[in-house]
Amino acid sequence: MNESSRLSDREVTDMLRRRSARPAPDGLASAILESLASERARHPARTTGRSAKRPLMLLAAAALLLGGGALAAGSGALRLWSITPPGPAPSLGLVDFPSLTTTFVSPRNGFSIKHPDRVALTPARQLWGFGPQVDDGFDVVETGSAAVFKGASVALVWIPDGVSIDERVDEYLSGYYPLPDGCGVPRSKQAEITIDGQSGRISGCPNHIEATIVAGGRLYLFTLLADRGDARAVFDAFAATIDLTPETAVDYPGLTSTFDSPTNGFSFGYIDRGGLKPAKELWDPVTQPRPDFSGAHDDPFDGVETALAAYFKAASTAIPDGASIDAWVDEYVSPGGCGVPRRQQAEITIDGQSGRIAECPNLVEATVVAGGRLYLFILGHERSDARAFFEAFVATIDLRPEDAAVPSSTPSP
Amino acid sequence: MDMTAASREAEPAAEQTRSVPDVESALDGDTRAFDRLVLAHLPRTYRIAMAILGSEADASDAVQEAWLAAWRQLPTLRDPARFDGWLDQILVNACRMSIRRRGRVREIRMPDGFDAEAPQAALNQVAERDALDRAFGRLTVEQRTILVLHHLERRPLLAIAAALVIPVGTAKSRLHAARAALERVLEAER
Repeated sequence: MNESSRLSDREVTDMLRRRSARPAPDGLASAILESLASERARHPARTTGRSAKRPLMLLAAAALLLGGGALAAGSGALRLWSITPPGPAPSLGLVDFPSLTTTFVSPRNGFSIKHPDRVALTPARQLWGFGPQVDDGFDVVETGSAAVFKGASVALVWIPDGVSIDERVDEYLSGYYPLPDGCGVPRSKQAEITIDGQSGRISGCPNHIEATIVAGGRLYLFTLLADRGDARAVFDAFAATIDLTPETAVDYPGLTSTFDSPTNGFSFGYIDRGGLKPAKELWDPVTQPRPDFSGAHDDPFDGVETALAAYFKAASTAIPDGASIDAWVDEYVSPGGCGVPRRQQAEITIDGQSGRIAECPNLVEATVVAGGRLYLFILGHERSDARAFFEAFVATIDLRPEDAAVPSSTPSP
Repeated sequence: MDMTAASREAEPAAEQTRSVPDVESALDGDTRAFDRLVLAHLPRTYRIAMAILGSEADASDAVQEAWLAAWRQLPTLRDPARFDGWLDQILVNACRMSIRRRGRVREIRMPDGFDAEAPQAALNQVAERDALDRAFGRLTVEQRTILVLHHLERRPLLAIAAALVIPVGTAKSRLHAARAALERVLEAER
């Protein structure tokens, strides 16, 4: 490295100050305080004062030193101090619990499980950690027999050098994905359990058992909330029916918000994480640069930065009279990365209209004609499941060509 | 050094001194005291997250998740005077998770105020700044974090080591390595 390339401290500091110069957005403070209020409402015990906890902690430590441990296991007030025994003791057997006869296949989490016939079953509605409610990412089986079984999973795609699987799992479960509760025992010190042939870990605290399995690149979490003496036996009975199918898991979020374009004559679903960028002008593919992902020519597009390695954008334009659709699209519209003439592209149906779709590295694009307008939908991505994610967007699209903005007429010279 | 920079560098210590009574009250179960901590430390936590993540949406998510995690884990804080370092640790983890969720996608944006008609010297300066920003964005989250804590937050190595849960010697070598990596990537960007 030559001397001229060396950076000064000032340059690094100035660069970091530029990156962080913008103040926190309006509403962030209130959003945090609201989420805290919600959390406190769900877990009122966590507001218990320190002065009340410390004597309990000392008592518990004394109990552990004496080899008892029963105090720690039996007091819910101690859970946050991580003095829970390493694993729930298996009970002698199931007492008065209905047979697990009906199979439920998770729509998102990549597993199936059997449950009693009469239960209240709530499938996961959202990617784990993305819903406003704790349970949105969980498949929840309320048995009506003083036991609620829950399961969720998430892709384990990034493990830093020097970090073990156990540490990574602990990090996941330490607050970023809200859990019904936390037993607080490091995973490496938890008891072992096998689910569907995969070795995992299990821990327990009062009224709550949780097990974690890493399989097929996914972290699975199964928990049982139970006010029963045979809770471990109930958990084991559910666990014995679990089939792990990580290949069927869905790793993109549910598109629960709707954007109604004031410009382009359509609406589509998206996940509201602050990345929506409505179009600022009408799209004219004849005079404007071809669509790309440089960000420099996005003004005619309604776009969503998903912050999930994918950017979705869309626009529409009136088709010139007499134009051959395929030839016109090939000449003016296609971003050019895929290089497949439109008439040779695969078919896709968008809001009941037949269109064309092309895929090439880091890009999925579809065009469809409705009401005399050409619609273009593009997903730029770095995801292996991009086609499925794109089709999740497509499934939410409502084409309304009659609502598209029209160019203001130019006076004749 | 201008007054703005001086006051900014003095900010962390002042925040910490002011925070201790509220941290103690929060540990005793006073939710309003914890809310005051949120408001007092929000600018700092958002600044760190923005510097590491470079995206308003990601930084907002990470800060919100960090404060929620801080509330949940508050009983594990034994020394109120170490609240800042403890909070940094949680925030850094939240930033790490944000990057994991975001994957490898990078927004490519023109710098604010870009003007193709500007004088060449100004364009060169903008391009150089942009290259440095891009180079920083290509570092690992660990490298970004240690540079942010050292160069932006002016944290001593002892505090950086505590926030990253690593020995002081390791913090020192990682800081050196991160700086070298930034220079290497910058060379490639130019």
